[in-house]
Amino acid sequence: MIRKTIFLLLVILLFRLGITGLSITNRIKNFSLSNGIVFVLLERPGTKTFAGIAGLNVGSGCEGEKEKGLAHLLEHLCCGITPTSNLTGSKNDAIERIYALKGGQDINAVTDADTTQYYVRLPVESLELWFQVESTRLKEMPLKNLERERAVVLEEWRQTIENNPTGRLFETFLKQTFGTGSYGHPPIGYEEDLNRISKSEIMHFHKRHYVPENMIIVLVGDVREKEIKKLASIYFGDIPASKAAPRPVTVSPALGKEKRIIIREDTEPHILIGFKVPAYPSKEHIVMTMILEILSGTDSSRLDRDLAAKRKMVTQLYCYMDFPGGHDTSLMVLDIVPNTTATMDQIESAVYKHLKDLQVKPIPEREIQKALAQYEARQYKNLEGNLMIARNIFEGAAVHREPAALFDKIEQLRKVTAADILETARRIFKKENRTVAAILAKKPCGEEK
Amino acid sequence: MTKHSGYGILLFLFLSVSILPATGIKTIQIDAGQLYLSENHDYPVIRIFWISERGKQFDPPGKEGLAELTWRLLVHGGNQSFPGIKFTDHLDSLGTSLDSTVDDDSAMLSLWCLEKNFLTSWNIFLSAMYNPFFDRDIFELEKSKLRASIRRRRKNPASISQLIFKRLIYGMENRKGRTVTLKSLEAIRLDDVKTFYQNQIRKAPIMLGVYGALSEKKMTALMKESFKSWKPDRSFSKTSWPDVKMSAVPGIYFLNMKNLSQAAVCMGHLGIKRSDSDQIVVDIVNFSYGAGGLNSRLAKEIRIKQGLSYYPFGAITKRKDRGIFLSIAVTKNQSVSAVLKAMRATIESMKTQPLTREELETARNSCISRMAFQFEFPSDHFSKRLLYSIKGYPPNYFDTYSKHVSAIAPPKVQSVSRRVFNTSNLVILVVGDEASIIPQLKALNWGKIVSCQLGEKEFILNFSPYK
Repeated sequence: MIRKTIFLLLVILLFRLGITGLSITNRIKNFSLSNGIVFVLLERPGTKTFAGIAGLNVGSGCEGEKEKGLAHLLEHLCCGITPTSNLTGSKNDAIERIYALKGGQDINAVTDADTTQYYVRLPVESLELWFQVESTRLKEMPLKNLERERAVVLEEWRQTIENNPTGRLFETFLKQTFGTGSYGHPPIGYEEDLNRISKSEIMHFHKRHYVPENMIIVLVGDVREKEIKKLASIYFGDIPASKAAPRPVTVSPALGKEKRIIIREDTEPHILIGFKVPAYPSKEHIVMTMILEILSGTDSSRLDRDLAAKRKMVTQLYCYMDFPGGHDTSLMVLDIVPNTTATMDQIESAVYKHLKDLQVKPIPEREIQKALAQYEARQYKNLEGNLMIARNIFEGAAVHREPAALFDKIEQLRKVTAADILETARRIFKKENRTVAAILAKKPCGEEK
Repeated sequence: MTKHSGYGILLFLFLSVSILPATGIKTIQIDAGQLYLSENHDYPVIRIFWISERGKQFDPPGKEGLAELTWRLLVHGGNQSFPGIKFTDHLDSLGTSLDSTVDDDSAMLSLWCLEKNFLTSWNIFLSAMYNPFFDRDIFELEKSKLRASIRRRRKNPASISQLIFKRLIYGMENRKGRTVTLKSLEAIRLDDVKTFYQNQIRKAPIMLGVYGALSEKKMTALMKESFKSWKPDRSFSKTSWPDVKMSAVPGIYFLNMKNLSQAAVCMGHLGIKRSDSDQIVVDIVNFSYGAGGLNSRLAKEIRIKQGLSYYPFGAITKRKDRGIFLSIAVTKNQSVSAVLKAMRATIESMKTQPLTREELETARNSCISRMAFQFEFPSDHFSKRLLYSIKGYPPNYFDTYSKHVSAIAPPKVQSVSRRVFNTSNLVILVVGDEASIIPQLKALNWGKIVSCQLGEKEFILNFSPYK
């Protein structure tokens, strides 16, 4: 009985969100095939084009020991498959070329800690071709060209990690925070694993993770539900249902103390301060979204205003959540490029002073309203173009298990009170919940004591 | 006719006829300048685009960075009643955002706001354009941001190589070879910003685009009223620049960056003018040569066949005077010479091997479609139309583009390639670890190698030959 009531409440809540949120949320439709593949679509008649994402709930967070970098390497291999299409009359053609011939744009793929996404924008005439290509991509075991793609990925690793101080800083930051957990390494992986990963390991990973339970297909644009349902069962219906392998633990157990590392190098300074936050839709996550907006949503937010405009201690300051992923407990990050005249101590104390203020002084109503206005504006900006909408829907569906999650958040934020902010700030901004990583100049010039 | 090309023609018809609709832009001449209005009620949003041709080329010599700073201060400096951060705070509390983008020959301020906040946002913005407050704190802050980005670019082989390459091609004295440096930034005073605003922005006739949930009639009236007292200087002129010539002597240039496992490899020469009669053919040339992602010959050779670089890229840029032709790839030290050879051979192939039917079709469809897809982002397309009109593109550029592209045949691509690529005139630049790369460059035997040294505060290149 209680369960039923909760269910009803949820339905009422969802419905209410749907009609009060942005007009887009109640137009998002979804269905599943009997094998478990989820399809989400948003019809935008008149655009003559569509954006398609063939996505998987599979990312570097699924990698176990000795396979760091495998999900991304597999993404490269899946881009190299050569489908045969009766629609184009072509045999064994590269995907990039099949799409470009039809005028495809933004033909690309991405792997992060939580997901892998293969996406493209196409004229609507190529809808069936898209189904043919993407179903082949998700079904085939792509082992061709392994050595070549290994070499390309190693070049990518050299460019983004080995020869890139910022890349190495982030690598260290993740390792410090998540330890041996699977959020503890960047999606590009480690050189030794990339050099070693074998065909059989790739096959093993593919079999465990590239399964219907992990597949989410998103289509946004001049498409119709009826046609999508038909094409979905023709092209994706024959993939046998199979249970996805469980994800490894993403976070290593908390040590109960602050984690801290300073890299000394002849390069530009960069400081990262992270706090662990439980995943969406926890209350902490929602309140932290609001706190983030107050701290650093725009140039006039608390930290930007004080540390950049007033005291000129920093030249750039970003604040973001769900780093490196949003499936599980993850980081809220303050990403700071200091001005060389300021020391790390000065910057940290200034930041912590603001975080302390949030724990002791209730936020004035005006600031809450300002944060909401900023957030609302940003949501409208996320509605530009089919691909951006599709990626927002995919992230909602894959990471937050709710396709409209990102568009609905504004309604949840409206309920956040000054008391919620005090309470959450106290719980999250604890020293023992914090990781600090920084790259500082080798010879401190006026930096630190 | 095969089924395949039949489909291509159908696709072309579809792309050219149905996605390129009439633009729905209304042009209104007012005393202060030119207004462009486009009504769209998809979302309750209004966007304003303030367009100017006063970009980085207007930096006075020795004060490079001035144009960018001035435009940034218009965004962040505020007006007399809301100076500095108060201005930003006021706009932010409405969810309104104001941004600037500045390139060589254009600058754009763009205002984004919800329809319900339009009038308030517009009045704040307008008072800043009439009576900007050049806040000293914000001036120093924006300078420090630029300083940080200058220091950062020095440490990144891919970004520093592109700047040096540009400088080699245009020369150190040419306005296009100049770039903001720590020294030029130090030389800029707040008064310089005020003067730049007075002479280059305040005296100019306005060019303003308004897009979104507006009523054309009401908006026209409001804009006329808003600019009643904006009196442009009638002698304010459009600029034309003298022709540029390639500055560097063709050959191999090298900048040492120690202890890196990868090098940045650049190759090219001067590019073309926007007024070039074949400038649309160059889009096909670019796509097929190095700008078409994995479909380009450069990526097919360097990435797909040899696995030597993650993202090799090459294109000829167009500018009012002359753009540049640059090919760039980042590769491990050991494969520098292999990448150089592959690049040169690929440029050569554009001159000697005509595009296959499939290469041409891929390039054509992709170029036409890229144009067509812009209509998915109508506000961006709108601002692009305004920008292109001051960049020297013909007025019907967007509307006739697909017709021009579809008429291009392989012999034309080859003849244009022969004209725009010059393999005997190549400037080659490698940035990376001397010890592992110089022996490879010597072994290539492509002529003498010149070493470049970069000044500490200035972006001055000193040259000395390698023995």
